[in-house]
Amino acid sequence: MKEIIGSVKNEYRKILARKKSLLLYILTGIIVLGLFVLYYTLSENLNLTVMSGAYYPIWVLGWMMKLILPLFLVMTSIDSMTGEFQDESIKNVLQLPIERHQIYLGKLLAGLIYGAGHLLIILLVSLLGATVIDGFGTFLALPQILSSYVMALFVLGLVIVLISLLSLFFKTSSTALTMSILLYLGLNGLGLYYGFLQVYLPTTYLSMYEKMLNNSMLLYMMSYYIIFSVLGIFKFQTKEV
Amino acid sequence: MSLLKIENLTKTYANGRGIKGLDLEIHHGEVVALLGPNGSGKTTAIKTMLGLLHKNKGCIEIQGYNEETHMKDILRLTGAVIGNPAHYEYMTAFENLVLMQAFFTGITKEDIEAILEKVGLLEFQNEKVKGFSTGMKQRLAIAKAMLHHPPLLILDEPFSGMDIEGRAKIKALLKNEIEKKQLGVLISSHQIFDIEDWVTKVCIINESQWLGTESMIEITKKQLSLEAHYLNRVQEERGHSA
Repeated sequence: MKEIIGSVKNEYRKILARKKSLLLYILTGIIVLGLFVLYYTLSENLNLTVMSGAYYPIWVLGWMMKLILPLFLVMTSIDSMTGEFQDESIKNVLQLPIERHQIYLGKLLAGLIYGAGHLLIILLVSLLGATVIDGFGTFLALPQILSSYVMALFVLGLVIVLISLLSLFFKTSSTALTMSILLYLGLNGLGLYYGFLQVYLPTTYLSMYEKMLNNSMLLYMMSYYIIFSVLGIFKFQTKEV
Repeated sequence: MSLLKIENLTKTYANGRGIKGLDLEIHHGEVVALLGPNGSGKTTAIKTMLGLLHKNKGCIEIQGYNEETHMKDILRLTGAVIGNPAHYEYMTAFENLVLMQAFFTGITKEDIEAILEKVGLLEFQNEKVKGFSTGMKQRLAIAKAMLHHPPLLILDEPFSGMDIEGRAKIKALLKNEIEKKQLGVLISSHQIFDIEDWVTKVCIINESQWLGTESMIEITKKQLSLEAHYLNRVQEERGHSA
């Protein structure tokens, strides 16, 4: 356990040391702020109440989960996996007295913590916006808002697990990113063309995280977590530098 | 007990290259030079010893720990510089070394500063590695290898890219540590003059084949310089193959 904690700490330290990662945090804050300005301007000018302020943080989360957040985490996961194999800095970690599966899990968990940071920024900025729209009444809906954010984190975790596995098969970060985007589009296309497949596709859950507590989706997601993590650990253990 | 014991180590790539049938033993206080032409299999041998490549067959033991069952212990007992230094360039020299604290108990901030001073990087400790020259990166790699005081050092081309002053500093540091702590060292270098005066044994590899290991005493008895011995052995082997 001590090794995994050490590994998570090191991996998160590395993520934060990259300028790009901090920039993505700032970008998330700016986008959420932009969404608020847009929402507020439209509702004031058109005199429309689209939703109660209490649901505003969930609405913002919905927009961020469509593309931006998964894309940010895909980029971060690829940097910490393919990127390190590409510039051979992975040698540094592999020379430490720690099992390879602990390194891999450390990378996944650090990615998840980084994703949680993005969600926290979205939550705080959108709560602030909701307070402006609807006053402090927003906080009555906090349990519901929080459960949406926790479920979103669960879904983002799956993105990290899937992309980390995928990125082990590519030699350069740019190829890994291109292939990830193509895979995302491909799976979505497959779901649209063959509707019955949707329930089996991991991409389906990106937009359905709110409903997960109520049906069997949680089971599917858990299965994907286990399958992709085990495959990733196996591939990481056999990968040569 | 030997510090490093390798028997019949074989690792081949799809093109047939690699290293075949390497036997090697290193004891405390011994410095073994691993010599061979470019592409002969030196780095492959070193990477395989450290688990970066997976062997086809053979046995690797460090202080009695077998690599198949005790890789963690092997890595704890070994400090290594492997090929071109690859650090986290977006971090400072100090931050690169701090990452080791989580896995080696007892490494303090003072230890990190002390090793950075020994390799001549203390004044650059808060600078991003991205701006370092190749020689500075190499010195940082040596600091990383020595920070946790391992009894065995495996150094693949440790002086590459270093200027004369840096090379002299690192040579003096290594010689001093070997003498003081009776470290075992496996060192590969193309610059024979860098290692000639302090190696105790010489292991030669040519075209993936291990040609044997001889002590410097035996080589000196033949009244040969290390360079002449190496050239003789390699040319002899080429003659046999032809």
